[in-house]
Amino acid sequence: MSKSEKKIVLKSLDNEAFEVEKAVALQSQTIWVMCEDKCVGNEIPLENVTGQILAKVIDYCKKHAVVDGDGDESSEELKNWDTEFTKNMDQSTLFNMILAANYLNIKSLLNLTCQAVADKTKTIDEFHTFLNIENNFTPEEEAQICQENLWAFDD
Amino acid sequence: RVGKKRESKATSLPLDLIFEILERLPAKSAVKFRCVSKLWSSITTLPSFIRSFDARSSATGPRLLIVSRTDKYNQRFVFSIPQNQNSDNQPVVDSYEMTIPTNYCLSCTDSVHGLICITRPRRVEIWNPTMRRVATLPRPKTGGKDTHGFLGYDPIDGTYKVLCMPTFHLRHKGKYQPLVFTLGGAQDSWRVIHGVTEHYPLQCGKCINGVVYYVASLEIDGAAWFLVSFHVRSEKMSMIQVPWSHNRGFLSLYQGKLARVTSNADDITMWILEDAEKHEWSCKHFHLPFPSNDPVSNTFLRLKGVNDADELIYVPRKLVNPFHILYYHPGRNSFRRVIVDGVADEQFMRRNGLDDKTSLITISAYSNHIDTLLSF
Repeated sequence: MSKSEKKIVLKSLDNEAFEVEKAVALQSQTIWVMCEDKCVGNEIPLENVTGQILAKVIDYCKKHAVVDGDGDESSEELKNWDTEFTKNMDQSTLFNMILAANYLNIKSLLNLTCQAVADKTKTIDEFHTFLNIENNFTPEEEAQICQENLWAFDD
Repeated sequence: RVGKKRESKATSLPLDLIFEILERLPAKSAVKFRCVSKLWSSITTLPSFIRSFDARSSATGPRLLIVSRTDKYNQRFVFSIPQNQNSDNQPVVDSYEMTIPTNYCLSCTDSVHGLICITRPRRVEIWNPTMRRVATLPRPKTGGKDTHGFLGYDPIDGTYKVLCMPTFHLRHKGKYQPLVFTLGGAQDSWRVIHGVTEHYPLQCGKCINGVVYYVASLEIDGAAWFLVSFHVRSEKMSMIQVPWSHNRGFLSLYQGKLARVTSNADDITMWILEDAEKHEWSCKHFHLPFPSNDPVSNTFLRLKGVNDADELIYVPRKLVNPFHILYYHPGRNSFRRVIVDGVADEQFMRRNGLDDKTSLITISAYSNHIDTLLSF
């Protein structure tokens, strides 16, 4: 493999370009398939991911890339890094990370971000706000379903 | 309607990703978020969702359930503690008052894939401690004055079945009728299983890998014991000879095999079923490396079960704050002490209207409990 082939350029929805090691990018199954099919050149357009989110995804992939001769980063350390990684992300970033991880097909990142949302979201209103979900219960239905599950509301 | 600020921050997630988030929530939150919308409510009640939620809950770590009662008013409280956690990270404990009638037998039950079968005189109930729900099954007519229900779980297609056996006092001779009920099945009634040799269960049951085991006797006077295995899927019953000669102890899973565990003060005897077809058992004796009358926490510890790491679980008779749980590993002859702090504390007592003179007494404990969202 020539030197130029080791690097790959990822281009975000808002035309931000990121040059990364191929080994880093190939953690994405989506990119892996694109490269396998040789349907793209050295530059891969990612139409669903903004530059802001893509930068974070690349940070994650760099940390998780298996580097030759340096494969023994302890799983404990990696776990702590993951915790720190999602700790200060706001809900809206996390949801966008979930979408990106899903689109790029990076299983471990999808798992991490879904778990982070599950751990962080405490109120019904947070979901209404961040996912733009309409509460489509009638007041009577809402009262009934809350009554049935009353125990789940006492904290 | 949604305000401007909301619009700009909002993302919309496809259904499969909502599913991914919901199945990672603690059971309590998954239930709470049923109130988000009609769609969310229907997702979290889908059988496929419940199955993957349960699978995740059993993979992330089973729990130890302790049911206690107050010495004064006979109120019951349930504590759910992560089973394999050490003291270093403070365990996340769920506690609540159980508001179901108290005249039932809890001492002889097993948590089977998240559900517990409660037998009361002439009735069988299924308790889901996570959902705080109790469902009463149709009245079983086994021909006996009393009955005992054993819950079984078939891991192949995720079916729960209840086997109901008459215990002693046959009301009418010749009316012996073992019954089976499939939970959530198309048929909402008991079915008779035919061709069963008359026998009467004596002891607690245990469901392991799709087979329910219990100790029974052939005669009503309780002599001549043997072990019964009931295959949940095929509903076939077999009898296995047993080598022990007294009616004590409990059944458990130990090193991947069925074991019958008895403890006498600080001595433990385990009979392990090596080969069911050949009726072969092996016997092991252990001596506790700590006194069951624990000088550290100043309370009596009782053997209440075996966890999935083959550790014997010792739970205090009295729950105070903090209380200590000891896990003894016979193979390594070592033990670990987990201190459960901030659970049965002042705040808990106040919240439940208990004064500081009230004691909480352990009545039963269930090891390897998983959280399931199932309800009937």
